[in-house]
Order: sequence, then C-alpha cells, then structure tokens
Amino acid sequence: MKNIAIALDLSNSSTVLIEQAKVLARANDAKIWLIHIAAPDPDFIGYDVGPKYIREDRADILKEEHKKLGKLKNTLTDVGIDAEALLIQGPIIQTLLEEVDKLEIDLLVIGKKGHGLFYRAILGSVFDSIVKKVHVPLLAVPYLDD
Amino acid sequence: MKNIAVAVDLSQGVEGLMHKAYEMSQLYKAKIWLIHIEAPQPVMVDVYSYNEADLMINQRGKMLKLVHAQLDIYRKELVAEGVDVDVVSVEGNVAQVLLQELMKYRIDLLIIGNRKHGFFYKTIIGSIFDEVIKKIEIPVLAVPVE
Repeated sequence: MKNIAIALDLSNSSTVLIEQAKVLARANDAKIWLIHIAAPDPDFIGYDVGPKYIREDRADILKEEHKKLGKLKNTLTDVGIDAEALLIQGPIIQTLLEEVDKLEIDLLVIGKKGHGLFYRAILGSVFDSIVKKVHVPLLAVPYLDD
Repeated sequence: MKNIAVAVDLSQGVEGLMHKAYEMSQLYKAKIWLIHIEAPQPVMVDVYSYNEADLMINQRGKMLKLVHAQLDIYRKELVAEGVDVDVVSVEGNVAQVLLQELMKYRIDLLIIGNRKHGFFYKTIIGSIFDEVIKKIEIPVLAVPVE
C-alpha cells in the first residue's frame, strides 16, 4: 500500500478519518493524499448587482477551505508522514474517482455519517455512488454530524 | 483495534478478503473472526412429496458441511501464519444477523467484499451489502472482488 487517499468534507469530524489513515500510513510507509472536492462554480450568475457579491463569496469559501486543508496536511507532515493536500473543483463523485485513478490510490478512506432521511436523500447518495463505483479498497469510517 | 471480522460468503474472491484480513490483523495485532451467515432454509410447502422434502434437507446438510469445511481451511491457513482466529457460522437473515454478531463479539472493523455485478446480482445479493453498509456503526473495509 503506497498511496492512501482521504476524501474530506472539511467538517470537524475530518480528524477521525485522518487518525485512521495515520495508523495505516505509518505501517505501510505510505503517502496520504487529503482530497477535498469543492462544488463547481455556478455556470451563469447573471449581470445584476448580485453576481460580484456571489463570486466574492465563493472565493472566500474556497480560500477558507484551502486554509483548513493546509492545516490538516500540516498535522500529518509535522509528525513525519508524507502528505499532500488537493483542493479540486468539480462534480464530487466523478472528480474524486478520477483522482483515485490518477494518483494510483490503494485505499480510499471516507466518512460515513448518520442516518437522517434528509442527509441520506441529499448527501448520502454521494457515499452510495462512491461505494458502488470505486475500484480500490474503501475504508468507510462512521462519524457523527457536526 | 482488537477484533477484526471478515464476512465470508465462500464465493470466488474470498482469498483477496483473507489476505486483507491477514494484513490488518498484523497491523493492529488483532484477532480475526470469520463470520458466515447462512440464509435460513426456505419453508417447505405442500407441493413437495416427503421424498423431495427429505432430499432437500439432505442436500442442505451436505452443503452446510462443505461450507464448514471451507471455513476451517481458511481458519487453518490463518492459524498457520500465527493469527488468532475464530469461526462463527450462524443461520438467519443475513444482514441483520451479521450486524448482531458484530455487536456480540465487539468487532472494531468489518472486512467485506464489494462485488461489481449486474442488475440481477445487485437486486438480490447486493441488497445485503447495501443494508450492512447503511446500518453498520463501526468502520468497514470494502474490498473490491470480481
């Protein structure tokens, strides 16, 4: 096992996933890829007063996510684990699976949240699709919602 | 992590699961539980003559013997590598009983095959996998098997 990827949504529970991956990375002398897929920019946001506002808001969110991801990466490199952070914009499932292929990932670590109906309907389907489509071993770690 | 369970269905590709289980048990110095759940025998209906019913019971007996022999082979292979192994073979509703057994033996990680299959498989057998993944409250390692 040379490459371990963690799919992160950057919620507070991300550390739970990182702790799991840490043990595996140490034992296998593997590299950890922290991957966060950010939602794509809206295609068209109009010409009114709103757009600039929205665009700046989007940029702020991305900046914030970038910072968080960097911090998480540092917690790994600080303890001597080879790690790299990737922030990619795109459709979540497709982009994540493409990265898993491209980086020749041997294990994908992913969070599995609670059972709420709303969550299952919206976000749960992302998890389900990944489980169905992924071609590498997948470690699904349950954690609580923030 | 002290107890690792492998959900064994004795179809092709189990070797891959066993190998992963061995790796993980070495890493966490954990015990391995080989868990096999046999779906219950279909209820007899009147259309069977007594002879046919007898035949079915005999066949099932033979099949269960084969299953246990196979589980024992896997157990011995792991024991030969110095791993602490126990075999659990229970009859019942597969997903439900599997989850109960995981609780009973305080399993910390479940290793299960993630099969890529056609529509028929997905509707019948795939639903067990889906149900387990949805309801489970411990980390799951889903290993793709062909």
